[in-house]
Amino acid sequence: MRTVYLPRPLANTLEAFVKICIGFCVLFPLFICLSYSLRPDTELMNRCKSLLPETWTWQHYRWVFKYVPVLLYLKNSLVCCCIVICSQVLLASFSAYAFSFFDMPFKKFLFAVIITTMLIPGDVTIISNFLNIQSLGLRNTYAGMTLPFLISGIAILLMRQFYLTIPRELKEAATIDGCKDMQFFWRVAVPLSVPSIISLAIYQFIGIYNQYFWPLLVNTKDSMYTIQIGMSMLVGHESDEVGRILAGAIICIIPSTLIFIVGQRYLVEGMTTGSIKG
Amino acid sequence: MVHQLHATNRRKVKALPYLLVAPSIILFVAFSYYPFLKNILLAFSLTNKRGEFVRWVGLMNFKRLFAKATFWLVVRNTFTFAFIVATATLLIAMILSLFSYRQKSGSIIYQTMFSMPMSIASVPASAMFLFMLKRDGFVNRIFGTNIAWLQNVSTALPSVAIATVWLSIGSSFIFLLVGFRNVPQELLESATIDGAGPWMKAFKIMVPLASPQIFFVIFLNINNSFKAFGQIKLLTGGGPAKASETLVYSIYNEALQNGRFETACANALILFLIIFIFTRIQFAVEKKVVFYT
Repeated sequence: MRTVYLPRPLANTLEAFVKICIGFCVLFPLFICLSYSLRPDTELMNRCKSLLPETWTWQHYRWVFKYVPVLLYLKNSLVCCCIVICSQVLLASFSAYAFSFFDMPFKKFLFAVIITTMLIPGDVTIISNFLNIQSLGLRNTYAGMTLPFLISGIAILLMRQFYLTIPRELKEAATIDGCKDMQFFWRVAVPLSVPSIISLAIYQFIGIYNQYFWPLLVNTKDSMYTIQIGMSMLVGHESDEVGRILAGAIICIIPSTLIFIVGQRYLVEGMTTGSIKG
Repeated sequence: MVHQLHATNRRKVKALPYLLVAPSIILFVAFSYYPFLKNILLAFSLTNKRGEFVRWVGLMNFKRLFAKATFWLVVRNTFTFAFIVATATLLIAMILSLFSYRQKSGSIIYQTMFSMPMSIASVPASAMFLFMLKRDGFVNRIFGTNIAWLQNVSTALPSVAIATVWLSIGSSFIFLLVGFRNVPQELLESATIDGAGPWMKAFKIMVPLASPQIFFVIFLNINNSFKAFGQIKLLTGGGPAKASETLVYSIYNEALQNGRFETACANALILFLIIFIFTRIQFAVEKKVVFYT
């Protein structure tokens, strides 16, 4: 087989072009969804096959915003995300700080208690968690929606992974200079760990925002629905409302995807330091 | 002297680290260990409609479960589903990451495109695939077929699996990409000098050296497939005739639709055992087969 050599810049552009085409293939369902959500009903009905709409319209988006309390659902989702992120960042930093800078009796045992939770998947305990939340009367509250997720083993591991890179001598030197333990935490450890905190925050944002099973169990009141539950109600209504369903899906996707694009670098770092030691 | 030593000794054990760990431990006990034990208890007992303990019945829940043919169908579905999701995702993510492991200017663009599905939730993804796979949906329009992909016994489970594969591509791609990028550049260069083609390099160097990540991705996807819920609920509702019902969906179905909390807990315990066994296998495989550089 003869190999054809292209000039470098041309070859690079071609390669990038091919890859972007593959990228479009990967995201094909998304583009189809976007394109069909922008078509008028007539076009949706007559089974057209074209990839782009012939007439562009926002009517389905307008309908969704008019008849579905999108902003309320979004607010509920964001409140849950905020509670979980704040709690996980704070508590995971606390625990990781204790585990990486202190020698204490039962340290190994306590660490094992935390690691072992990672062997108990949330979906296994979801029913008994639900029963507990129900008997506490916390259904349809933010507390009920977030309590089981206020801390996670992976978050503590991630923060600890970072704290282990801070030399212990630094803390010892600071202690000799009269720096208290908590002072060192707030003034040195936390500021240094900002990238890890961002990783954790983005990871949790996408996780909690995209949650479906738990809010479905806990919420019965319309006013407490998260955006996922709200939009899944649209999907439930079958038949000819395709445009609205797809518009709802796009609205639902935008926040998490934006956060993903902006924070991608941090997310990738967090994902790969926490889980693989290869 | 002795008194002094005692005092310094005592000062060494500080209360602070315990106070720092305490909130996390309390939350873990309340929302992970306690529910887990409660789940085990309820799996062996009779519950009322509110899911409260009534009395201990031993293995009866499991006996009843194992006697039902539908239970075994659900277990089989769970494994079939895991198999399809794990293999298809690995294949696609591997191709994508082998394509793009070389870092270049602009690589961030297609990297973002390849990994974007990981930021998409199961609900909007279900909406998309519902539109594509229903009887008058996109796939049938394009291919001129008339198959009710989601209502057919033989296609329902694979259809849900395809949606799950699409959702899983992103994170698998990222993990494999990191693995392939960790392969030492000199190794690839010397292979090129020795006349190795791109295929040779991919399968004789990259894949073996990235095997930790490859195994990790396989088990990650198996685990995630065990937990797939939203797409099953919204695309098929476990149907037709439980053809696409997996264990997680059974848990939901028994608890929320049928009000049989003890059966749901028994299902959850079985799911836990399956996941646990796979985790043990994963650890064993990671220790043995993995090729560390």
